[in-house]
Amino acid sequence: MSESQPSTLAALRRTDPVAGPSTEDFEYVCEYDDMVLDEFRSVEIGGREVCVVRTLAGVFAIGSKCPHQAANMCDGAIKGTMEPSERNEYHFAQEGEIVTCPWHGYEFSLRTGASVGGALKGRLGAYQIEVRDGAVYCSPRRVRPERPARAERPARKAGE
Amino acid sequence: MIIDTDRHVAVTDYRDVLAYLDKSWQKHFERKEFLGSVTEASNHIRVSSRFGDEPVSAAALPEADKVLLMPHQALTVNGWADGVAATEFLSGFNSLARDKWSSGNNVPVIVVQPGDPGWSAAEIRRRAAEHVFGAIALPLGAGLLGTSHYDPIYEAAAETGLAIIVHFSGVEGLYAGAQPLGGGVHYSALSRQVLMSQLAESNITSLAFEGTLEKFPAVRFLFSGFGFSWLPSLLWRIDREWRTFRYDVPWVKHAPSKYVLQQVWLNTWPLKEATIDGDWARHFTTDALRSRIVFGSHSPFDGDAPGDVIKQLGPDDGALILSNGAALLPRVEAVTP
Repeated sequence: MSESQPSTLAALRRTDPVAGPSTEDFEYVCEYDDMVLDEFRSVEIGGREVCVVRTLAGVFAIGSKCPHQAANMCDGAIKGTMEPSERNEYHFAQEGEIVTCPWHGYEFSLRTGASVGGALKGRLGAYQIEVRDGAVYCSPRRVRPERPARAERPARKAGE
Repeated sequence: MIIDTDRHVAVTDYRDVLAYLDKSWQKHFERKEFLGSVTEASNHIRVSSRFGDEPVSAAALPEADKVLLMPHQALTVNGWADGVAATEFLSGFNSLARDKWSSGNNVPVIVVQPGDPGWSAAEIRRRAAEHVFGAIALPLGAGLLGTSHYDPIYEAAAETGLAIIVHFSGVEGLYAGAQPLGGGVHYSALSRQVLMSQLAESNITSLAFEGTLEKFPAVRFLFSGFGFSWLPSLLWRIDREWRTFRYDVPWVKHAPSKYVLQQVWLNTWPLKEATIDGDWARHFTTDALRSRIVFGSHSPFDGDAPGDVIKQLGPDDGALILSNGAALLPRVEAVTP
């Protein structure tokens, strides 16, 4: 483990995608030190292909199929993105937290699997990761996406 | 209410316009070097109504409740090299439109100078206060409409509630200064006419991707005389590219088609291109798409009448398209005889 590893691991735990259920059934992926920065590792977790990657922002796991045309996201590229801005202004952010589809360049959040900027209705699966004793473990269950609260509907009138 | 969004009017004697200018500008324009370029040029399309020819103003359509008047001669300032002279000329032309053409049912547009957005914004505010103009005609200058160069015009449009009408003048694709067509300079007027729809597609794409529609959500645009059958495929293409390249235009905060479907309209001429082979029924499948199309006769240049709209689109869609203009042009509706 490199000298910078402890701080990276600490950062990892801080940026853990979503606090989830018990990690007891998480499946072993690989040794942390064997992960090459920004290179996906394709593994079978819970009977599904999952793409696991270590980036500057942490370790993440996503489903392998792009919701657009099912390109293999393990061939995707790790990026940052431009946040919504005023005209002719660029604000680069989220470095190491974005993956782009290898076919059409669509951007997804590695943390949540959501399409950046709402460009697509579909999303990638996102899986919780735990780094324990120098090894990487992945949840067999997808993180349930947070849904916006339903808009309140007007009460039905009697007889409707 | 049926609004004809594209009826052309013209002057037959240049002195009618010059009468509104001060004497020094009159003497400038009366020189052969200027008049020759206006009266002898014959290579325009749809601007063959040179001063001195027979009038080409369209007769009023009895079926239209309101008519937006488009003075195509004034639009040709987008081919002028002298931008200062163009503002003087347009000032005279707008005054003439106010005095000679406005009649309550006939509502002229304010023609502005694309090369001088500061003057244009002031002209919009000044003319809007006269309460006889129904919209702003913005000729296609050298820059695409999405650039911030035009922001003062859009600010004035938002402030006054006047829609912006984009109609080719006929010099596009030919004169430096006016916008070019794709590929290069075509050899004939008919080639240029066939390809004018490129200008509408280019400028709508520019308005969406440059963030102008995002920045000015209250501004409404009508692309007039460019056809409309191409709209569904354009919207698919701009959304498709935005999904991949959103990173490059982070100021476009929604799918670009969403902006276009709220702020951009097209008018019906030439109607037949969209009804041939059932294209209308096949492609204009949503209320949002159908809401974008308004009636424009383009008369007297092979124009369509409201009856043609009903005949070719059917009674339901025809009636819808004929009524769509009111949402685009509330200021036209408000002008009373």
